[in-house]
Amino acid sequence: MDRSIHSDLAPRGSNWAITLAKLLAIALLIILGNAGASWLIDRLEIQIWPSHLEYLDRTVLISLALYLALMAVPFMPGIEVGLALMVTLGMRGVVVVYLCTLAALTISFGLGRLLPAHVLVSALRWLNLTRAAALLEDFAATRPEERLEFLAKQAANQAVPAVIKYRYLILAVLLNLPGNALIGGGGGIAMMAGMSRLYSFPMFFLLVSAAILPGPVLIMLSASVR
Amino acid sequence: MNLSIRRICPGAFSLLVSLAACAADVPVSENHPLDGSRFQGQTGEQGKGNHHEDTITFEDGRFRSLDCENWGFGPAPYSAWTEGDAYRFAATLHSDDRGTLDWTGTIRDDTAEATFRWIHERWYWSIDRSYWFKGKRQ
Repeated sequence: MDRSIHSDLAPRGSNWAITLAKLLAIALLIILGNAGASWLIDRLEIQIWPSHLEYLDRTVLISLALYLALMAVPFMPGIEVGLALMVTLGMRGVVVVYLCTLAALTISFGLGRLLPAHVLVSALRWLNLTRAAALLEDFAATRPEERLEFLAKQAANQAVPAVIKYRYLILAVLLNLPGNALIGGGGGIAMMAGMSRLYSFPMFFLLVSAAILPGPVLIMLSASVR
Repeated sequence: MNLSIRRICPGAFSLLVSLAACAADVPVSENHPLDGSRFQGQTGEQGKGNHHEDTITFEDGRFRSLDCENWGFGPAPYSAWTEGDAYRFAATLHSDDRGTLDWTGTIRDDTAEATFRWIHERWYWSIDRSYWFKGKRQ
């Protein structure tokens, strides 16, 4: 129990290469998925006309549902779909997409809360992060009110207590971090926050409501300037 | 300085602007000089290729897009003016359930080139898309 978080998270020797390869494979899949979707849209050269209005309505509803699902699932390029939707749907769509984002992240957080720790432990073991998996097992076995203290005790690195103290701020930064798809995207980050049991639901909801505002506000401002 | 002229004498400023506009573009909409004209050609979304064929007509001071009529955008009055050796025209077509189409175009010799913008405000999203038309006189 006196292991440091720093050493717990570090797999031994050549295991790093396997972990790195698996993470790179995930990153490559995300990049290829994004590039493939963009290429397909360009190639199809889809044109939208007033005669397509009924299809458009259906497509918009399906896209919003798809966006909600993509945003809620870790490592899915939800934010790209969200930005495309905001640009396509205009000012009013920005509000709808904002509400969908909030709903998706709340669902992810809730799923993270409900997800048994052993699922995440298995995922960490698959990535060869065996010590991190062991730490999580210990963490899950600790009573929720003692978890902050548990993490602080594990931390050899002096920055960790500060990280725990400013966890809400860090969560807000991570949600707005460009390229955060590589660390799970909005859905993954929210799910991890739920899994950690370090965030209360009302505070998480309030924080996310504010943290995801910059994107929609910027799009609305740029649209009003044009 | 301009600002102070606008403040002191807004009427004179408007008159000057109107005179300048008249010197550049000569409104001729009263005579409907394009009446009887009919152009057939291709249309598509801005920045994209041909999508389908359309025919635009000018009759009795009204502009029509035959293809747009299929979607409920009926004929509407048009305005026209000369610009150099060409005619410019503008018209706004309305539909009960699909918003408006704002057409503006240029007719030079036997060719009509126009752009039109489809605007449709919805409670949850707004459509604002632009299209082109290029046709030959029939």
